[in-house]
Amino acid sequence: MKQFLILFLSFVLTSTAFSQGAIEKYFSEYEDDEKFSVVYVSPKMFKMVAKVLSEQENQDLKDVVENLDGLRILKVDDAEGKFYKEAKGKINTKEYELLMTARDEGQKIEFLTKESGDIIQELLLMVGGDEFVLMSFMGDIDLEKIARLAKSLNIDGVEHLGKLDKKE
Amino acid sequence: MLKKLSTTILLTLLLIGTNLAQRPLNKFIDNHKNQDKAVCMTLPGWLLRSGFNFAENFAEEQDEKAFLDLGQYFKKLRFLVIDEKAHVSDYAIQTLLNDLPDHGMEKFVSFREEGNNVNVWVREKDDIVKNLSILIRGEDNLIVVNLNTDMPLDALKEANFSFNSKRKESTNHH
Repeated sequence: MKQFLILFLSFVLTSTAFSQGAIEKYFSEYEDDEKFSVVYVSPKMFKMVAKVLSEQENQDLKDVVENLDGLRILKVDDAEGKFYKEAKGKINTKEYELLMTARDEGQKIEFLTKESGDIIQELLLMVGGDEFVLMSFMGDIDLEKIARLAKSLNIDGVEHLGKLDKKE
Repeated sequence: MLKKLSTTILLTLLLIGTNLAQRPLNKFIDNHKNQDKAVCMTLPGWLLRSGFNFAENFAEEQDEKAFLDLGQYFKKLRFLVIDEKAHVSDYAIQTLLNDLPDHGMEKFVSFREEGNNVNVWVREKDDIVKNLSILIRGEDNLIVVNLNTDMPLDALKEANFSFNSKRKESTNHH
């Protein structure tokens, strides 16, 4: 019985590790690569920011921030499109659904989501062009609020999220 | 007598515990402060508070005053600046970063761009920020900042910071 339990737990743990997905691995692979600009915002920061924001502050911002579990951004010069193609090839289409694409001044922008039931657990943004940008928001995500929020934040790459508004 | 003894033991353990929680960063600073091109300073809370109170007299914007008012919660600031980062091994830095979570520190935010790495760690308890640590690795220099505080999150809320790039109108509460 004990051995069975150990085997079962090992199986569950291993499955969890594999289900972390190729995009997670992509981030892990390149976050130590000096060519890439990397931003990581922890769940801790979002929770603290949500507590610090006053009710007078943009309510959308507070709502979005409260429910975020993390933000990761990778950015690199990619005139040949090599990193963009590589990242696209790694997306598991069973996990991620294409939400929207846009083309803007030579850049190709794609929004993908990972859902669990009716909840969007991850919003992935990929931008290809002279620069490759891969951005991942994790948490309980409201797309409409993120689009409104993106227009007011001053982080390089986040402005593309404002296009989510145009989807409607 | 027994009560006094147990209180003394408890206080001693508490002090040791607090020290242990901060050991990696202070140990790192102590290990490197005597190197060439290293500048290290420790500023006690009373000096920080005096400085912030003094600066508040010259602050014109309400936001500035609100920020400077936060100085009342600062307990101690240590910083270390080393030019020519080559004197500090990557192994030492990585060991520090690996040790911080074991001492109650949580990764807050990190970013890297054009050879500059910034890591911010925080220790918070019951909505009070107890410690804020910043590690900045530039191409040619290294900066370590360790700030001990007793800053409640409500204080930051009252400071009315805006994270919005379109800054809200400054309120005047005079």
